[in-house]
Amino acid sequence: MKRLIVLVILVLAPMAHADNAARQACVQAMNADPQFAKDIVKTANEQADAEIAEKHLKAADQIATNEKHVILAYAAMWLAAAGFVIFLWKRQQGLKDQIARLQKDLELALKDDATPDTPAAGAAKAKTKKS
Amino acid sequence: MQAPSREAELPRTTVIRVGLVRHAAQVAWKDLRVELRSRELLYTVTFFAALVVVVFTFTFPRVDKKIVADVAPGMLWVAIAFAGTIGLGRAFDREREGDTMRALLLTPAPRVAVFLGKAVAIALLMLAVAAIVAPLLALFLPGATALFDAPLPLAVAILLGTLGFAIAGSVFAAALLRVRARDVLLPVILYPILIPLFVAATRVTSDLLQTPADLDDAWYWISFLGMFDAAFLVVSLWVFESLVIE
Amino acid sequence: MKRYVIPALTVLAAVGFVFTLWEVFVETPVQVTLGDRGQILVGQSLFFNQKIFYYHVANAFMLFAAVGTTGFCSIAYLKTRNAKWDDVALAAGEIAVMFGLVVLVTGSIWAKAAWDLWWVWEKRLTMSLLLWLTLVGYVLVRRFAGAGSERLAAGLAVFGTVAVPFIYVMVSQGDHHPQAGASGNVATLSGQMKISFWFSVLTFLFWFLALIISRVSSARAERRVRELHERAMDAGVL
Repeated sequence: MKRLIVLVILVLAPMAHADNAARQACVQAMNADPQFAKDIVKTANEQADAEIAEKHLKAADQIATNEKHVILAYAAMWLAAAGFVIFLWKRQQGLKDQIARLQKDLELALKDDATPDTPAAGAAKAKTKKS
Repeated sequence: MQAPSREAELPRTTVIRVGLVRHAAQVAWKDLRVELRSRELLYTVTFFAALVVVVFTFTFPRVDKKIVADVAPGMLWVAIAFAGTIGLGRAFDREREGDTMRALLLTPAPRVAVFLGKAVAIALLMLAVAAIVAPLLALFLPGATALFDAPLPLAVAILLGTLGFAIAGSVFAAALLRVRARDVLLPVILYPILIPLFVAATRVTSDLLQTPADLDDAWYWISFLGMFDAAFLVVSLWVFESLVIE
Repeated sequence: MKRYVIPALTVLAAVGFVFTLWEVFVETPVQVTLGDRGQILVGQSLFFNQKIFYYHVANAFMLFAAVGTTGFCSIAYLKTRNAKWDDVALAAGEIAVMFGLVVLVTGSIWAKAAWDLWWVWEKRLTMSLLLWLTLVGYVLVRRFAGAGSERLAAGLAVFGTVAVPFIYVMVSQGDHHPQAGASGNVATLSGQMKISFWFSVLTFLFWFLALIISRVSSARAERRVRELHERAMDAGVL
């Protein structure tokens, strides 16, 4: 019976806000029986708790099952690592090219030296290359 | 320019005896005399800083008393930092154009003294900038006059802030003298390492703008600034010689 | 020796990556703390997004290791003027930029997943950002400052190192943002999480060492080629 009254009160609660007389009646009923008042508060609390718990559950569910961001984060790490390895590899390639070019220059220079050539001319050539 | 050359004629032992501070003062005085002759930097850089403040007041049009403590410190220190960066670049460009940096380093004055003199000259320029910018902010922003309610912490904070900026700035501006991209590299180097200084300085300024002013916190951050300056000074003295070789 | 060390470290890192992935996603449970009324306590639970932690924090450790290496080697370089130190400093600097990028990106993604914000001015994240900015400056100087850039960059690294304690004090004093969530604190990790986490750190350590050794040897080779080139020029051979 008490439960029914509580339910009615809960349903009527929004209206009671508007209707002062009904509100007054409720307050009087609650004041008349302390046990009754406690029960009302308890039931209301339980309901609110259930709502909060449900909200929490939903939020937690959303956070707990959120795989998108985990995948994103792991992908970001691998992308950065791959990028750095490519950067290293490119540098290495550049170095190899440089060495090859040097070798070619060296061979050419040696071939030039085989023909009668003054050292001064070689030095002059080096100067122009430097600048 | 004259002071170092006169020193150069003195025998080396005397020069060492006259001491670091005197040499530093002479270098600073040389810079100031060059500056006072043309007043090029003083006029252009302070005007630039004032322009930055004006641009700020136009780009943040809805600053009221409630948020002025959050906004004004940032405006003040960003204006000082920008003006300082530009002033540093120009001050050292001057040495480069006249090719006088080498002459300065060749004088028997220790290099550390050259560095200290330069830093002091830059700090004085930045103080002049702050002396323009802070009153301007107080004028333009509602409630910012509270800045001057506690003039001592404000003055100390500005002094220490500009000094720290000038110390680190002089090292890197001198080291960047021969680098082509120096204009953009100077702030790229300076700002990341100076962020603690900016944060502490803005905290002091913000504390002074609170109602009532939070003086305890202000002095805490001022001591932070002092220690930061001291640490950077020590490092600068150690590093300057190896960074600046002409 | 280098011939074997780099591949060995790479293989170790690769095995470690696979193993860590298995450990993190299969062996390690998520930890959900229930309140006294049976509801999930979001603030005290570790959800699936906590898996980011194993890579994020391990990368952060490597960032700090790389930054420390750069600072130390820069100081040693300025003191001894031995180019060997400079090579290591440069290699560590570049690697620090990479690890820092990973730390910031994964940190940001994790913040979004856990706190629904892309960026939080949290202590460790702020500190990582500031260190990373300094290191980016370092690499930029190395790349664009031309001759003598190694001394300039070393100076920057020394200043950056000196600024670290100040940054630390600054972020711990000025941290007025909420420390959301219990996740991410290494000291409070429980059993299996600890194992997974330290395996991840070990893996990234192998990865870090493999990268730095190969980068250092590449820097050395570049230096040698440059020196040989100059010598050939001076001798008039080229």
